[in-house]
Amino acid sequence: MSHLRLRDVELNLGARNCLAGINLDLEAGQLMCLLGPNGAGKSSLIKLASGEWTADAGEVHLLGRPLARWSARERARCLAVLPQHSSLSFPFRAREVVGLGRIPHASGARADGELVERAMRALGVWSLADKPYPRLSGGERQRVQLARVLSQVWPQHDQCERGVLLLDEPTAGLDWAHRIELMVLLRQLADEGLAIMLVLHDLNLALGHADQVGVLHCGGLAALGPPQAVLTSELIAAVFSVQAVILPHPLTGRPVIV
Amino acid sequence: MIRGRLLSCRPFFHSSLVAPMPSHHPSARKVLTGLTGLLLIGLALALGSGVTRLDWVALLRDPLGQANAGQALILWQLRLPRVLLAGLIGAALAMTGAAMQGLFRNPLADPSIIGVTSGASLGASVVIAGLSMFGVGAGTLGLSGLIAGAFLGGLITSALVYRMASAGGGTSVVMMLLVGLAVAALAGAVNSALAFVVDNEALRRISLWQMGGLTGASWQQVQMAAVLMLPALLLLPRQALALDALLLGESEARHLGVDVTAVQRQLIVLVVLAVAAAVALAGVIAFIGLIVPHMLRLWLGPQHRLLLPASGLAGALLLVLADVLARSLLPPAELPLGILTALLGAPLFLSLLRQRQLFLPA
Repeated sequence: MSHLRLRDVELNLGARNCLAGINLDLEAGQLMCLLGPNGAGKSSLIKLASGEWTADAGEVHLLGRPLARWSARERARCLAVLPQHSSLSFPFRAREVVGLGRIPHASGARADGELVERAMRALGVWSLADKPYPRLSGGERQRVQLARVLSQVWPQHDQCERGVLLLDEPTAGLDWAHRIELMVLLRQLADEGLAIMLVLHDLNLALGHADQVGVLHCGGLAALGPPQAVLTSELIAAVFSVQAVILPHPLTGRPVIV
Repeated sequence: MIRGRLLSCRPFFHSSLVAPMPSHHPSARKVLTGLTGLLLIGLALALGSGVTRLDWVALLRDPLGQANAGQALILWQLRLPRVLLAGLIGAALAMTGAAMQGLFRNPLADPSIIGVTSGASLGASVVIAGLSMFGVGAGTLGLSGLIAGAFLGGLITSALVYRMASAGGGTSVVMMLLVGLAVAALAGAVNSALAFVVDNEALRRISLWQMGGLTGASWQQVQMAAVLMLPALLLLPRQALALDALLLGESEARHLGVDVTAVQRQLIVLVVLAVAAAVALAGVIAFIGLIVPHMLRLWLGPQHRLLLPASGLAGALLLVLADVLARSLLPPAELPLGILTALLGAPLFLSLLRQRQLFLPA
């Protein structure tokens, strides 16, 4: 049973057919990257998969149950979502923002405190724990928000062995080093049993860290599969209209898109 | 076993839910105990102040006042209901202010600024005018009619403000304030129009009541206030976690398991009920819902499980003391309470507007 399953999903926004014929399965331990040009429907797909929007046709199943049959609270224990933009102007401290991720669990102050610290350390923002959130820089805020959604489905916790993490452009605003660190962290979390789907713009990050890549083009899935099979220069030319060459990395030998 | 237990069903001060406060935030228990203590002192002070000096020794010896009926009457029938009414209204205004600010994700969303209070007072004025035309005076029917009118006016306004201000996902401050402005202007216009329609007696009552005051406080009014405000005072703190989550945004709150629509509906009904009761009983008392949560947020941080009860206690304290001030500045005349709070609150509101980063996203 896959953690997240989309079958023949279709979404119409106004007259425009926004997404059509989407089929995908996200399994435990998988790190799936959604790629595609602007406006291809990546964020829409995240919103459908997270239940924020309802599909006009087709089915979305979370852990084998249709999304609509989950209560909000139950769903929040297994599924955490990072939206593209978050605005928070109230002077919460960073640790309090991360602590909001524990709201669905009622697991007690001590357990929550430990998980908050773990998630914040994993993202390198523990040193900012007592800073007011509105005073943080853009990248720091992004990492605090990431720590919030991670603390919501942190894998070691007994209640969320079966966690699903949906991230809409989690690398936005992060510097290069933090992007790579984030991908390594997500890889580790997936190895511990989380199912992770994220929207990315950096093809090389996807190539290097994902084990599934979905390429969205004009509202449909143009390709879905392991990154080295999907990300060919023909596909990149067809979807992004960019001439790319794929070469082995001079040191590691792994493929790199140039 | 916790399945299906919605946030709304949680007791609001469940100890296991209180995340560790940062060390420099004072502990919740200390803050609430301290504020309760201050409120009790304030209540005692308010009972003791007034034109007539009360002989406390005699009153304590003979509380029902067979010997000194006049003093007992002043204490039990005049001062005590008035002080309790001030406390209830202050608590309700401050706590509903804090809740509205959470709901709108904006520290300026006070019921008196976004037009809920104007809407409620508009509804109440219409009722006063209508009743006077049918020859119904003050009394129970008049008071409940006033509350019903205020509730309806407040509900329509808050629904309107919420719809218009949060149309595009986020909450637009400009929209919120402009809708408030429009409703206040409409209320002013209708009030002026009523001046032509109603007789002198009704007109005097409308204008006196609009200034805001507790002059006619009675036990009956205290009862009304308790019935209409206690739901908000007791139930709003239960939504503390949902309000915390809502500060992140509506969809974020949904992803945290909050039933956003239900929470919004419940909050708006509770808030409007309490605000309408406050408006009907004491007229427009502005800025309490703005000043108190703002000050407390600077001190305690924005977490609602502490902010809401602390706002209630501090609001009660502030209004009880403001009423003492209103009674004692120009004795034996009384300054209308609404005027006093506006004089104190408006400058603070202006200074708040100057700190733009507090309420406008960076």
